[in-house]
Amino acid sequence: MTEHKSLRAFAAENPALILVLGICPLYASTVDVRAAFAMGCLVLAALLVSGLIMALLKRCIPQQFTLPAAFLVCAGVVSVFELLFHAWFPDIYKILGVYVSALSVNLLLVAAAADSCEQKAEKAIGQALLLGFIFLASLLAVAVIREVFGNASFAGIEIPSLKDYRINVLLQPGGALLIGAFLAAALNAVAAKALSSDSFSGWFGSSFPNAEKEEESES
Amino acid sequence: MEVKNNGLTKGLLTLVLIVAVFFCILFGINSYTAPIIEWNDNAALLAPLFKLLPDAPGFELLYDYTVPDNSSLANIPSTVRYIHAIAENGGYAVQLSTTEGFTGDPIDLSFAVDPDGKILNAQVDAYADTKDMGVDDYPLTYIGQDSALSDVSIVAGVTYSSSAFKRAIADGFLALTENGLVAEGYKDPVQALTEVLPLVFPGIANNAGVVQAEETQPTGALLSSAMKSTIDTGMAYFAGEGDDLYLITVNAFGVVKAYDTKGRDITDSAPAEALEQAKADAEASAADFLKKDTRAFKKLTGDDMELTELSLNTFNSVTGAYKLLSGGNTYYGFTSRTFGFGDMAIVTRYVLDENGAIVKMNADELILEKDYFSNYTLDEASYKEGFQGLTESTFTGDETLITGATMTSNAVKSAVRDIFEAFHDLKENGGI
Repeated sequence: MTEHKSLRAFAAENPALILVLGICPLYASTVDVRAAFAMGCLVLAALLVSGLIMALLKRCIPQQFTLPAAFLVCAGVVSVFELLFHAWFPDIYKILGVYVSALSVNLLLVAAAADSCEQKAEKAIGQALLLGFIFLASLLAVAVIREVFGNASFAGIEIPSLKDYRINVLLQPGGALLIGAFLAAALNAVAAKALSSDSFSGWFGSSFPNAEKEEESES
Repeated sequence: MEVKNNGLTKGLLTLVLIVAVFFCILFGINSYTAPIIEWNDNAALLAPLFKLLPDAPGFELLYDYTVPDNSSLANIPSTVRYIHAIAENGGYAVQLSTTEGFTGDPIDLSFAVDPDGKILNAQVDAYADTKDMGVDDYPLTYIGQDSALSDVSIVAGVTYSSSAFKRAIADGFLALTENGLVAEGYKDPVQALTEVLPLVFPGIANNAGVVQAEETQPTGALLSSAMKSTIDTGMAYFAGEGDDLYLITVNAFGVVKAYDTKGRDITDSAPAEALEQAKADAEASAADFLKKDTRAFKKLTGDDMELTELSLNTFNSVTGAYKLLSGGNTYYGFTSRTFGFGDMAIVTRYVLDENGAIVKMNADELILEKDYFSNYTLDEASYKEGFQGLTESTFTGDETLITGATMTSNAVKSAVRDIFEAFHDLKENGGI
């Protein structure tokens, strides 16, 4: 069941490719593997910190203020990371550009932060790590395909044998959507084989892998 | 209701607290990251300077050509882009860009000087010209030089680009010395006069500003050296001794002028005997173009043409000025000799009416680069017709353009500008 939970989290409920949440960085930063890795790490760090803060503040935030608080916390956390990123990694920051600031209103971050308000700190951290790594993996998957086949390079290192076979459309936003669609289809195929059909009821409108809720439903 | 109000108050207070805490955190982090970000933002600008001086602790911007009013420095030549002070060193680094090279594409360069005004290092940052002047080695010949640049020479075969580089360095020094940042280097009189010569006698220098002259032995005792223009536009002499050395120029019409090392006209105060000797020497070695010009202008105006020689006070490429009477009309003929491809002479002739409009134009030979452009064709008749009716106010320079023959185009452009200047000179001095 634990294996199914992880697989379900990655395949059937992949926030970037299946649930299509917070996909701006997915398509904006995946032209280069280095930029995708940087963006993924940034999202992971922002998820962790904002999730932890919201979990620690859960007693102070009435339910009707969860979303505004989540927005404020996400905006603050992303701003802090943005300043540090700009100072320490100026080259990558240049590549990512405005999409770093756009993370402040990223649906994935805000939703995860809001969700963390209803959980214990440990669970919030666990959820953030899981989401963050899944998002990072998704970004890297798209970035590798786009850069290798679109630009005949990997992390800035040229691949001479592919130089004449570049598929330029993969470097365009449309190409990113295309890759995302194919990966989503592949994930669906994997999930369909490995999981029962009942497990797919959580597809549309599903919240994130929430261990407490699942345990309640199982019992 | 009370519970609800308490919840509302608590929620609002929490939000305010979140904002306040993040404000303080961001304020603190910004204090730490702002200098780093500013340094990073300047990194692209400073990268060439750190390549120039890898051990420099830092640079402080003194002048930015995009916002010149923000600087306290004044009289900055247009080739200067940025001036930085070198931190803890007292020296300066200058970044420049010139388009006076062979192709006209920008040549970006930078150099650094110590507090005494001696060049620490120089480099080319961007070079697009087709002929390599030795972009890695040539700038190193400037190390140790001061603003006089006395021991720096031009690269043979790449004179346009290397002299553009040298002039740019001179511009950088001018910006520094004019603003009192470094002291001016000592320039010996010979070097100073050599630099003054193309400025006061443009007809003896090519479009790159490099003097094209052969050294000859002057006949006058007061004259220490003589230079004869390779295309017979006139002569130049050095006279005097030591720090009192001065320049005498004689144009193709025998008009004499004298200049000091600063380029000031000292004709009235220079020794008359020296001026007479220069004039006599120039007349003795001057080429006689009268017969050739007469034949050429008769072809342009008619066999009944009567020609009267005129004299000009200009020191440009015009070597012949004539009043032409033909068919009851009065015209003015000018012969110009300018530097074309390979600094060879391009001889062009122009007939102007009494209002200064070009009536006819002719050239001995326009395309000197035939060996290099074997498939080249020019409809010369049509090209020459394009000059008809042009006046000084309507001439833009585009009329001289010959595709693929930049040197010739520039030579003809200079010639046309010079003949208009010559026409002005005639009008001012009663020749018209």
